[in-house]
Amino acid sequence: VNGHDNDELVDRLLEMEPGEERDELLTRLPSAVRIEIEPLLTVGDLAWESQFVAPPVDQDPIAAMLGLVPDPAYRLDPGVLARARKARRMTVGDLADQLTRRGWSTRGKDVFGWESSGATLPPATVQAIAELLDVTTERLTGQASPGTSPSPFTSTQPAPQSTQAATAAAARVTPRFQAVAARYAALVGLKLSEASDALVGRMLATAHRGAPPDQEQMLSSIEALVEALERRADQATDSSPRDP
Amino acid sequence: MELAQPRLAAGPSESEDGVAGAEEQDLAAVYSANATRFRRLAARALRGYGLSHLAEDVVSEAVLAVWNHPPEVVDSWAALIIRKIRLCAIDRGRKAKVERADLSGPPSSLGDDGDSQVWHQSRLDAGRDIAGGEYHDAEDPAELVERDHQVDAVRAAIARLSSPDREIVTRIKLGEETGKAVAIDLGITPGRVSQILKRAMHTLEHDTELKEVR
Repeated sequence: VNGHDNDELVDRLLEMEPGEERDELLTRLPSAVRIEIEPLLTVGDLAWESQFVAPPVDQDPIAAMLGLVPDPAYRLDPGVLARARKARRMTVGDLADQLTRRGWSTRGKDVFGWESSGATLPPATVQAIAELLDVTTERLTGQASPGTSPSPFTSTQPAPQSTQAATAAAARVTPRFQAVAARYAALVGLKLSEASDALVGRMLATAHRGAPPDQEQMLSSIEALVEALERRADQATDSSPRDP
Repeated sequence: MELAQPRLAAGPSESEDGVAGAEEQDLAAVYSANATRFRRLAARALRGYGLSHLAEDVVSEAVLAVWNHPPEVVDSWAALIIRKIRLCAIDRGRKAKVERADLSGPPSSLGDDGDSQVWHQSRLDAGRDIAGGEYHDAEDPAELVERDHQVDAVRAAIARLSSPDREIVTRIKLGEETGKAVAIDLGITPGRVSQILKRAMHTLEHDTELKEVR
């Protein structure tokens, strides 16, 4: 193999994707050239990978399913958060540390900010805070109905008007609801928050047709709705005319 | 009301990147910290099959599988998802190979030929099936973090390249166009494209000061 052949081989290698063929071709090069070219191939592979990134969180169905999409309807109640933390004899730093240990990278000044002016956090983060402070997420976000929780903390935000609304609100922050909402959003081309609002409306409408449903019934009703819509969409796709 | 987040039962301490095993970690938090890393891993695992466009699907499938059937004991959600992504990618690749070969029936109907053995070995290498059992950390999520740092460094270095160098690197290494096609499009010789590509790759290597990566 002469120098010209080496150059041609290198040119080919730089355009190839990783795999057995490239590895085999690489062995044909003199070791001095191989040592020079291998880092370039690695750089090329890394460059290729760089085009793959996660979608924005509000367009990521998995993030929605896991409760990672912040929902303005579930804004932290600053007063309740501060009282709950103090009742657990924790500093803002303690709470931040415990959240960080659970994987939610948090600093003391973040917690301080939440307690000063509230915050719209992902439902999963709110759930983690609630567990650490031993309060319900409804209480932390001002969604609890009066008298429904034994917690000694009082919300500074108005409570929902009815038990059904409270049940729907509780259902809304479950991963199950988030997953259905993500499917519905994709199906009808809405933003996730809009789809969530629409499905809450559906759940409340269900409540008016008979005895008040529980959370399970509400979630089942919207799952059935979205499944039916998906089936209809599939049928429409199957029956649409195709190119010859 | 409970979100019922799957959480770790116990495990070693956590890194700042959120990928190592951790005490009482939330699956959602681990996913949030690693969403892009998981996609790059899936793309890499699928590349050899020509299926990197399915990276998003494979990540969804893997996370859903872990979410729906979490093991009773797990050292690291990240390692668990990494393993599941690799398994899903192997299965997708295998299925695509079967379809391309225009064979009917599931992979098991192929018999115990060499290809089947490779597939079964690949799955074994990727790990035991995690559904319903115990899973202990056999993956090294730290490698994923290290590689991700390298990818980000290269990405930043590409942005710093001169415009002609960046275009050629982007079209050939990211867009997987051939040097010949790019040469025709730009009205220059293939040799000139090779020259520019080589120069740009040297610049990227120098700018990123790569450590050893797999």
